[in-house]
Amino acid sequence: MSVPGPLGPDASGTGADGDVGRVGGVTGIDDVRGVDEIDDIGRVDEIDDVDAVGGSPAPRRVRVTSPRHGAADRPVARPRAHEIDEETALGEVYLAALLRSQRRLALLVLGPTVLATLASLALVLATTAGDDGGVSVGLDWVLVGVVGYPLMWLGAFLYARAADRVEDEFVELLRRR
Amino acid sequence: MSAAGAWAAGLVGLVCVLTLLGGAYGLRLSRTTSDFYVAGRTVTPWWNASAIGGEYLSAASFLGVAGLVYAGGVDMLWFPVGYTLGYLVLLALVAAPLRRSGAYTAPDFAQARLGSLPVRRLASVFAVVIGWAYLLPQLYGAGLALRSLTGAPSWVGAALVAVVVTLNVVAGGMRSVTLVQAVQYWVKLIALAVPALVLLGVWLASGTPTPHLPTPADVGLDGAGGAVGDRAYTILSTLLALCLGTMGLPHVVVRFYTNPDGRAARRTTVRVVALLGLFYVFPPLYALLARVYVPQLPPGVSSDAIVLLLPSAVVPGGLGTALTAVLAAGAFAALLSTASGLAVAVAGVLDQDVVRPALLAVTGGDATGIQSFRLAAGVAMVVPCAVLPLVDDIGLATSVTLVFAVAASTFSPLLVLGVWWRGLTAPGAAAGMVVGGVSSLTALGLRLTEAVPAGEDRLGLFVASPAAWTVTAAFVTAILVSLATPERVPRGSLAMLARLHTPERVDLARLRP
Repeated sequence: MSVPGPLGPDASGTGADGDVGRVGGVTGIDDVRGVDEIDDIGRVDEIDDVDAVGGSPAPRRVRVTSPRHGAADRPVARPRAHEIDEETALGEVYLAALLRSQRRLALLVLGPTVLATLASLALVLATTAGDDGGVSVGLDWVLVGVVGYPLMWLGAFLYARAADRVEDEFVELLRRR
Repeated sequence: MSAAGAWAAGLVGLVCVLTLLGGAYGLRLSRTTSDFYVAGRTVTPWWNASAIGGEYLSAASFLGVAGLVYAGGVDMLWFPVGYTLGYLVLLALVAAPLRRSGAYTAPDFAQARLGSLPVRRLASVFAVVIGWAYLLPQLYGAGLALRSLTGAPSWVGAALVAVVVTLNVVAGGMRSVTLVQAVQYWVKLIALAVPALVLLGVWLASGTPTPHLPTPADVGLDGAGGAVGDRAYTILSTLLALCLGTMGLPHVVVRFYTNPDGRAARRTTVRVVALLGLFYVFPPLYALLARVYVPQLPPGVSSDAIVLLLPSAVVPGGLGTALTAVLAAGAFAALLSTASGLAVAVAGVLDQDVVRPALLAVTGGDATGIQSFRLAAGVAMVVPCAVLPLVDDIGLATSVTLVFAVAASTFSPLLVLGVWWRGLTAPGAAAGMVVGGVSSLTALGLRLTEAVPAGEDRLGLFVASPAAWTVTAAFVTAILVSLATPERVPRGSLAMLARLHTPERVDLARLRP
């Protein structure tokens, strides 16, 4: 982000990183304004300045900063994610915890699915094994052909929701001290 | 040509023209590869899920499942269950990590995860072979559908589909247009559901006559005899192939790239399960109604054609003709969308790993990316067309299931172990793919050429349903060879696994450049 016009290179802000403290130049800006607002108002301010000194602009430092609500916990979040980046022992512990809970979740949805499949297969085989005449359309058809689908969807839905939650908790873990 | 044939041919032609227009629209809509990525960010999970459904539901689902259930009874209901279950397994095991890997194809994943070019090449070979093998039943189904409608020779339908798909892919380029594929799902669902409900109404109005079902002992799966043990083996092996094969199909993997992030990939997959379940309720309905109204197949007609025969058998005359035409159009929509998706995926892999390097070498760096992609698209369609006459008539869903077995035996060890196990090595993955691929492809070849007839003995059973042993062999090989080569565990595999399993929001600075 930079401030255009004759004010030159010094006027460019360091809004993106925001670690630098606020220095004057932009007057009357409330701390909680968004970056865009500051940009607009800052520009107006400087044009006024140019008029005041009659065409010979004094290169004033304008530092535009972005007020960041989450700035306070930022330094805490970085090192924890770095533990994983840098493959430290602690990072391995974090990742192992995440993998474990995701794996448990996958087994929690696939295990019952396998069991239910085997059970209904056994049921269908048992009811049709001895038949040698015309087989009727009965419970087995409804069980395999219709009932299975909503159950599969339910399993998928619950899994996706739980997986989202596990990931949210992991993000929290990395953010928290 | 009968009146029904004329009607159906007209609607089929309309579907072909609309597909071509869709390709041309896609060309105007997005001109660069990056447009595809950008489009991906704006596609909602429902659109994406419809697009996956549109590409996934092939002729095997539209015609083949009903034919199987008609011929084989209740045991065959496990086929659509397996087709749907595949997405539940995909969701729980690989959906989000696959998206987070940034891989566009399974070979991309192999390279990203294992950092090995030879493994990538191997995966490319299998992706192309699987794509070709999956295109075969689509072409076969096209010939079948057109023949049963108009009496035209089988090659006419196959050639028609091959030409339309090639033109479509060449015109539309690298992108599979999400919008067109998404609309295809709803076209197929309506084309299958509306005639089903009309026929069901007629059946109810005529006093619900009972269907005459074949006994499982008569047919068995694949004619594999009626012993309970054999039936159980066949069903379980089939389910294993379908559950683990879905994630390895080239056109399915590509679709997951369109999701903006891992979480969206999961949401999309949940909706896919719902859409597939909705669709698969209908094919068995056709089979049951056909058991009432068409107790015996006319001589020389495959059971795959039963969906197309049914309407005229239930309501002779104008209504039956119209319904048949709607179903034929739906079947062609299914063929075209699946074949287009496969052709794009196969052409993409061929282009990246074979055609472009070769073309650059021949022309001395004078060929553009679009030229080489078009050449690859041509090759992608010519090969299955050439192989088609060698293949015996073994039924749509059966041959598709064999291809699932190949996909399950090659890519599921790579993907599942790659996502969950840090110790997977390049030699392990390669060995698993070779063992699983060679064994399952051998079974596929023996079955397609009828060299080993199914149902004669145990060998026939294992060849007809190979997944149970080929998938197991592939996983065991991959794990054992990886354990034997611990020094080949890729550097940074912890960071890679972290990237696959952490949400995109977490700022893993070095991993997301």
